[in-house]
Amino acid sequence: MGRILTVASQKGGVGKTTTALNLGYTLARLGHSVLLVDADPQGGIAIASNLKKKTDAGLVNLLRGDASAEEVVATTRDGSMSVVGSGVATPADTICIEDAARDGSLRLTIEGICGGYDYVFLDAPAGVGGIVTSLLGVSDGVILMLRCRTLVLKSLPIFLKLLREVRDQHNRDLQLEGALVTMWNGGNELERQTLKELEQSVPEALFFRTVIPEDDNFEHASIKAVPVILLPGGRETARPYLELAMEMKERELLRGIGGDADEQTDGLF
Amino acid sequence: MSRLTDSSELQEALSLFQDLFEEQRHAKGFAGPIGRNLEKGPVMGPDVAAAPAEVLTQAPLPTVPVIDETEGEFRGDRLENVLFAMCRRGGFTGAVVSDGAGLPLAVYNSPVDNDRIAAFTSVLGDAMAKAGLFLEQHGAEYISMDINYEDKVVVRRFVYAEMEMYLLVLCAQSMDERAEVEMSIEQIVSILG
Repeated sequence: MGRILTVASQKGGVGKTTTALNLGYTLARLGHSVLLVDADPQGGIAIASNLKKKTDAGLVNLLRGDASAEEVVATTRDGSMSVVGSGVATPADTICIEDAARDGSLRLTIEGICGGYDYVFLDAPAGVGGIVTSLLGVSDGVILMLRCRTLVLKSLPIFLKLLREVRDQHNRDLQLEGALVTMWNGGNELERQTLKELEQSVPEALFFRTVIPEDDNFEHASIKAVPVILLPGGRETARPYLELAMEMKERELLRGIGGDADEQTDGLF
Repeated sequence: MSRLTDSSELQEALSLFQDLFEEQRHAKGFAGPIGRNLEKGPVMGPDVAAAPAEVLTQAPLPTVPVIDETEGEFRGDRLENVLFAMCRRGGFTGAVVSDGAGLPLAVYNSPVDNDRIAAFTSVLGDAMAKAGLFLEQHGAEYISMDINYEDKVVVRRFVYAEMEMYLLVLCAQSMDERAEVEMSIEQIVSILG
C-alpha cells in the first residue's frame, strides 16, 4: 500500500479540495498511481472533478454495502487517476458517514480501497469532528492547509490538539506532512507580515516552501470541474502544484520513504 | 507590529507546532525545506534578528538536510541523484541517462518502463546520427519533440570517453530546459569519469 495522506484544515474555504485534486493530478502526471477519496459529505472532490458523469455511487454506498469498490472507483478518462466520491445525496447519507466514523467502519472501508496506489489523498471535511479523526487514524500523513488570515491561524490550536490526540491514542505513525499556505496574496501587506511572523516562530521544516497563490483560474477550473492544468492557459497556475509534488518527493527521499514507487510506475503514455 | 506574539491562540498554536515537530524529528526524522518560493509575492528569507527572542529560544530552527548530488555508494545512485536534482530545479517530469545503445544507466521517474525508454532514446539517437549522413552536418546533438499538447521530450547527445551517451528529459513544452541540461551533463560526465 502506498501513502495515505489526509488534506485537512480546521477551517473551510482554504483550498483543501483544490489541493487534493491538483496535487493528486500532478503526481499522476508524474507517473504515480493516485486515488482521491472524497470523505467530505459536502462532496468537494466529486463536484470539482465532475464525477457524476461517471457514477453517483461513492463512499456512503460502500459503507452501506450497496455498492462494490469496483462500482465506486471511477478512473479518469486518461487513466491516470482514480476518484471515489462521497456519494452523499441526502442528510441521512451524511449521518451515515458520521456513524461509520464513530464505529470504525469508515476507517476499515478506506483501508479496503487503498491498495495498489502510490498515493491516496483523503479530502477531509473542515473541522475536527469524528470523520476527520477517523481519516487521520488511517493516514500516514496530513497536509495542513493554511491561509495567512488571522481567524484561520487563531483557530489552529484545536486542530493541532486533535493531531496530537490521534497520534497519541490511535495512530503513532501519523506525520504532519507539512503546512501548506494557500490562496496566497503576495500583494497584501497583512498576509506578508503574518507569514513572516509565522516563519520566524514555527520550525521551518513544518512548512512547505511552496505556496499556492490565489488565482482566478482555480475558480474557472472549478466551474469546468477539471484540474487547473487542463484549462487553456492553466499551466502557470498549476506550476506551484508541480513544485509541491517535487517537494513532497524530495521530503520522502530525505526521509527514506516513498520507496520503489518511482521505478515502478506506469506513466502517462 | 507583532500580531502573532500578541495572540494567546497563536502562541498556543506555535507551542503545539513545536511539540509536534520535536516528536516527529525524534520519531522518523524530518525533511526541511530549502527555501520558500513566493513567485507572486516577496521573497522572504528568515529574518532571525527581527524574530521575538523568547520564541527563538524555545526551539532552534532545524538543521536542513542538503542533497549532495555527487554522493552515493554506487555510480548509478549518484547519477540518479543528479537527475533528481535536475528535475527538481528545472521542474522536469523525469529524466534518463543512457549509453549509445540506449541502455539506461540511471533513471528518474521514467514515464514508461526501462526497455521502452531505451528503445526510444536509441531511435532519437539514431536520428541525430542520420543528420550527419543525410544533411552532411555533424553537429547534431539536440532533439526536442512535442509528445502531446503539454509535454515534450528532449534528448541531448554527449560524448564520454569516446562513447556516445544520451540524456533524455521529459518536461513541459513551455520550459527552457537547456541550461539545466547542460549543467547536469557536466555533473554526469564527472561522475562517469
